[in-house]
Amino acid sequence: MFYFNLGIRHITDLEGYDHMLFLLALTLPLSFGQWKATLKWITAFTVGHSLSLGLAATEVVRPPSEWVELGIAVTIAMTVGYHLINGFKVVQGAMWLSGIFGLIHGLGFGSYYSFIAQSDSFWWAWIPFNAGIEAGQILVVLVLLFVYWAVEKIWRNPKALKWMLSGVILTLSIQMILDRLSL
Amino acid sequence: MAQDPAVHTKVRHEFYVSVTDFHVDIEKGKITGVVKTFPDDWERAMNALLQEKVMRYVQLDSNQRAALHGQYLEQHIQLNLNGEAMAVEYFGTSRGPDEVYLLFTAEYGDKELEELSGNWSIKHTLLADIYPSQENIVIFHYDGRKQTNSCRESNDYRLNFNF
Repeated sequence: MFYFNLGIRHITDLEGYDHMLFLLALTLPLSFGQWKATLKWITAFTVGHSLSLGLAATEVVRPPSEWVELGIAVTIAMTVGYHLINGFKVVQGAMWLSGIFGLIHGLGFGSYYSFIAQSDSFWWAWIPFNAGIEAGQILVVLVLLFVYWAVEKIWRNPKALKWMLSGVILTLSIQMILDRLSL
Repeated sequence: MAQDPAVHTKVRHEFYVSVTDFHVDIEKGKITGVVKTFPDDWERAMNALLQEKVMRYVQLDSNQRAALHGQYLEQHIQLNLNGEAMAVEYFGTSRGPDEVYLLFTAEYGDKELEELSGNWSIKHTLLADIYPSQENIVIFHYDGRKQTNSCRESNDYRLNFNF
């Protein structure tokens, strides 16, 4: 249960807000009515994330952390760009994009997981840790979808909200990219 | 036993975490423990301790470092069994490729295994004075069983294990 909770806390940790920002970018076109797509996109991300986390933690792959951090920032900007190009429509390709970007995000957790995991229970802890990440993401996305729903009820102009959020996320992610390029 | 931890780690990290194993070691007749942490985090904590003396950690020889490690570790880990405090004693430092290991023991006298069951209470504030988001994961081993939890700000760096 400890590793499951740890996975949840990792996603909901506001200090590591790039993950949260990615979820915000990913869910821009979504709503409660599209729960199937929502679940697919999040699960695709978790699958990619879990896979690369395992590979990085076991040092099968060990890319430079500077490149991974830069890659994470780029995925946020690209996700917003993808939704802008598609006019905030729920398209099938987003699931694959989410999975591929999950691979990049998982690399960022590899060194952390290899540090905390016990050698005798490495994979036994890996399962609940990733399940916790999935649960944490679902929690965050539910909150986001509720906020979208509430704003739509009040504002009645969902596109404007999405454009505004896209602008904010793009600005923050470009700032992140510039920061990380100067490492 | 004491080796000098290097001043820098090759792995850049954005998280503040340590992992501590406590073993109820019946063969040795004491609690044995090891803290794993990052060398750069550890060096920063040591430098903070040395600030008043206007010294830097890199200036210390191995004996001075060992004394400083012991002072810091013993102040930041507290162990209780059923309300009875056990003094933590620093034992030595070892170095891995990207981590520092701090070894310690705690005497429990002539108690038998059965007398060592009950409520183990741990307060573990290592590096929390330097990094507010520090999380100290604790794995407690007792009679072939183990429990895992973490000391962090939200639980005031206190944990209870029941065996």
